[in-house]
Amino acid sequence: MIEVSHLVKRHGHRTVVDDVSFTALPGRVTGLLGPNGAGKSSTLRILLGLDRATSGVATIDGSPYRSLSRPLLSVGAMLGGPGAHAGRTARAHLTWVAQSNAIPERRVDEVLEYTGLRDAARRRIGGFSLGMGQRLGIAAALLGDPRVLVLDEPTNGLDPDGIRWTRRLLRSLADEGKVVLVSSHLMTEREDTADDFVVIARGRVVASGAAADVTGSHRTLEDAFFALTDEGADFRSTGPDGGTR
Amino acid sequence: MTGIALVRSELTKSVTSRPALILALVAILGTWVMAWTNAASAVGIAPDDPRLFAAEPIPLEYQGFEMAGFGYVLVVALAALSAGSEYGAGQQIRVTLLATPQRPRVFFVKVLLLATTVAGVGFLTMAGTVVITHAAGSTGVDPLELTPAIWANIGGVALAWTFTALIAFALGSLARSAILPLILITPLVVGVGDFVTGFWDGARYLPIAAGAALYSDPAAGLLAPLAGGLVQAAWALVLLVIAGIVFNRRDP
Repeated sequence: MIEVSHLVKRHGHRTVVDDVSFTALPGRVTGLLGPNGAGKSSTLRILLGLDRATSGVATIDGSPYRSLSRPLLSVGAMLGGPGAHAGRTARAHLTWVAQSNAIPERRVDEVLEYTGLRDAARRRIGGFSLGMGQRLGIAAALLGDPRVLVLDEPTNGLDPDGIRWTRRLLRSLADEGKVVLVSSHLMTEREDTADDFVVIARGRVVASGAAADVTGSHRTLEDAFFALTDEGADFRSTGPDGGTR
Repeated sequence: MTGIALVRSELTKSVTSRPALILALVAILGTWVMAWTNAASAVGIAPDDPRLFAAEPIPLEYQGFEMAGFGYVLVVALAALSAGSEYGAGQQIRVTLLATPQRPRVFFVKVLLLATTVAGVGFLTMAGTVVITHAAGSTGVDPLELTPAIWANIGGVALAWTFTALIAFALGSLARSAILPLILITPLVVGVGDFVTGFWDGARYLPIAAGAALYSDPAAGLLAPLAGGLVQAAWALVLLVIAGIVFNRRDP
């Protein structure tokens, strides 16, 4: 289980995460949703030990990420793309990641097969499409067959086939009893996949719960999303009458 | 277990990085080739031969060491790359720290591997270079039986290159880029340090000039070998400690 409790992150005077609390449960896909700049990635970076919180705690199965000695066996994560050096092949990238946690190297072939990258295993990552890069990031996250998956915008840049593949993957991982926390700035993207939602805007949680809880009196989940996050968006287009849309 | 796993992982990163491999190989093989062409054409020439610019002969135990400059530049690039490649467009540092969130351990293993690699590259480069120099030129030194003084100088190059690489790594880690160490260290390595030493005594304490004392003719006016080595080691240690603390505390 992922537990985030009263998390605060400040950069100077700017508060990017403001008292964020939520949980993500086993067997369920939890969507962390909000516009660009809402604080989703910052929250995930703190959860995964990359950034330090100003205050508050974030734990995975009761432990802070930084205390895990072979973290990839319990948590698989992808943050902002695969995090791979362009000059390396996909296999070489996955090999060093596997070795770092003493994961058997046969897992490299298994995740390459699983994510459809087997034929690209010996290609340099610099030549990968955006979608292939996302698949590589997911492959690395799955190396340790972890109980918990944390994926930041995994469908960014994917073609429709890739989006459908990712949706099915997230569903099947949750159905295996894993905790799946996935962020997106598109409500429609997660609407069909997520069981629980945490909507975040301007660093604060503005709604959370199952679809019905978040939808409330709004017509659709998407309407609720825009109503809840309207003030928290970085950019809004304006209509001919000058009104926002 | 996790320590060994981390060493294996970082080793795989190094050997699957094409630029790092190329730099190491070119440092070794390129210097050997240059030593061969240089020695075959000039080493046996009499010291008062008008074809030489200097009438003062280079002492035997320092012959061949003028070749160190080429590999030195490549080793600086290798170290800069070792630090900077984590922070390039792919932001590999995220995955590195997701895989091993114990940052001091990551930093230590990186430093250890770089030091071992550069010491090995430095030793191979200079041992081969000196052997080639004495084999190709009629110097009077048996290339298969180098004197202790020559071996000490070969060790000195390996040590100086290692300390310099660690300084470049520390700067690259602090700047999160390979550019800063390349800008700061490369000029010192290619002779700016020697130039400054010519008119300012204090320049002998600059990291590269201090390290050069480990393998240079005392006539060059540098620090004593031991003092030079200690000064350069101190530079490396201080910069590594600062870089290590920052690496541990900073949000990547």
